[in-house]
Order: sequence, then structure tokens, then C-alpha cells
Amino acid sequence: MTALCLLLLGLSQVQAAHTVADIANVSIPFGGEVEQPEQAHALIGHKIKTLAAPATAVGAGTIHLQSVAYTLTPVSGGYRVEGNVFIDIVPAVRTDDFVAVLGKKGIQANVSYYNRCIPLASR
Amino acid sequence: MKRFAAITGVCLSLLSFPVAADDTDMLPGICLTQQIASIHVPFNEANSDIAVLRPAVNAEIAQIQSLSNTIGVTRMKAAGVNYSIQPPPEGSNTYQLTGQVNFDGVPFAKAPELLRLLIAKGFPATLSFVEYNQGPGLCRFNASTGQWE
Repeated sequence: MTALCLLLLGLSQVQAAHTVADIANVSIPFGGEVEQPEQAHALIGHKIKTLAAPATAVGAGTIHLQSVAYTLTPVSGGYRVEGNVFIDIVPAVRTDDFVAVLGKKGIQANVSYYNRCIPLASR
Repeated sequence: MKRFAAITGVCLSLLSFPVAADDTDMLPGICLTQQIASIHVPFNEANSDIAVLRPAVNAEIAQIQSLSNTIGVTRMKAAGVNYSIQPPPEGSNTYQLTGQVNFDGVPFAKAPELLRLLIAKGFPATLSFVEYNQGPGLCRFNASTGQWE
């Protein structure tokens, strides 16, 4: 496994950085208001739903839902929900296209690329 | 141990079913099974005697913990407090302390009830959640089939 990673890292020297990374982590902010805290999951589910069409449109491989982080703040008549949905896209190669389609739909996304191979020096 | 692994495997395979695009509201409940809840309560104390400000915050923390006990939340802990003290403005002798206390160990299922209780008792609390997907094979959207699996 280590040899394979070293080989891939070696190959990475001749490729652009975003094509070497095999996973892209994308965070998508969301917000809205709910009457009861228990309704926040529906809001998150709705946000997740909006990712399917752009992913299909660009052939984004597989999207893995990783986590959500959000805050509930009381407002008049309910609660303000603010947070982020975190997904991994594997392979990462279509991520830029996916994020561009999201952008055209008015959905902001923050992207970080990473590689599953960990150099020996960093262990 | 083997039996636990087998049961876990069966459970994960049962959960790994396609979810229709219209049913994505279910996804957080199905996938994000590791849940951490925290409560944050801002406070604001004012007094001409600076020595009484910090004990007043401690009294508020104790009151919040006492309230949480009334609904069966017994393991919540004040994980951290941050605050600042402003000196009296000109022409006044009142010190002002503002800050926030963060509570960890809030059971996920009880968190909404606790938030409602604290607000009803006059504490302007905020609730935050982090929910993780514990099964890496769960809740994947396959762009080629157009389905969550």
C-alpha cells in the first residue's frame, strides 16, 4: 500500500494538483427558519436534495454525505437554523464542474481537495 | 465480538437501501447517527462591585444545570466560559461583564426540550449540533444511477 501511494505521489509531480487529489470535500452552507427544533432535519434533507441534479448533470461520481453542523437560534415564532452540510466527492475529478453548476443555481460551496495517500514523513 | 460485528453488518446492510429523490428528508435521520449537541448561553451582569460579577455567572450556571435536571438531563457539563469585563464609563460606577457559557453532554433527543425550557425561563440560549455519518458505505449519491444508496 505504501509503495502504491509513493508511486501515485511520484506520478502526481507531472499532473495538476486538482487531478491528483482523489477526494474533494465540499461544504455547502444552509439556513432557514423552523417552528420547532425537530424540523431542522427536514431543512437539511431539502438542502441535500438540491445536490442531486447538479451531481447527475456533471457525472460527479459518488457523493458521500459526511456530516452536518448547525445552530438553532430562537427568533420570533420559531428558530433560525444556520449550518453546513459536508460531503465528499469520489473521485474528485468532476468537482469543479459540480461546484460551478451549484454556483449557477445560487448555491455557495467551499471546496478542499485531499489525497488518501499519506507521505511517510507525515506519519 | 464476532456476534456484535455480524449484527452490525446486518444492520448496515438493511440500512443500505436506495432512497428515492423525493424522500431525501429522511437522509439525515438515517445516515447521521452520531450526534453531538451543545447549549450556549450568553450572559450579561452589571454591578458597581466588580467582585460580585463572576459569582453571579456561577449562580446562573448552577440555575441552568438545576433546570436541566428537572427534565432528566443530568450529565450536562459547563465545558467552558468566556467573558470580558468593561470598566465603568465616564460618569458611572457600574462594571459590565458579558460572555457566554458552553454546555456539553446534552443528550441529542432532549436538546430541543432543554432549549425550549431555557428560553421559557428567560435564558437566551442557542443550540448547536454536529451529526456524523458513522457508516462510510451509507448515504452515497450515485450520479450515474441518480439514486441515494
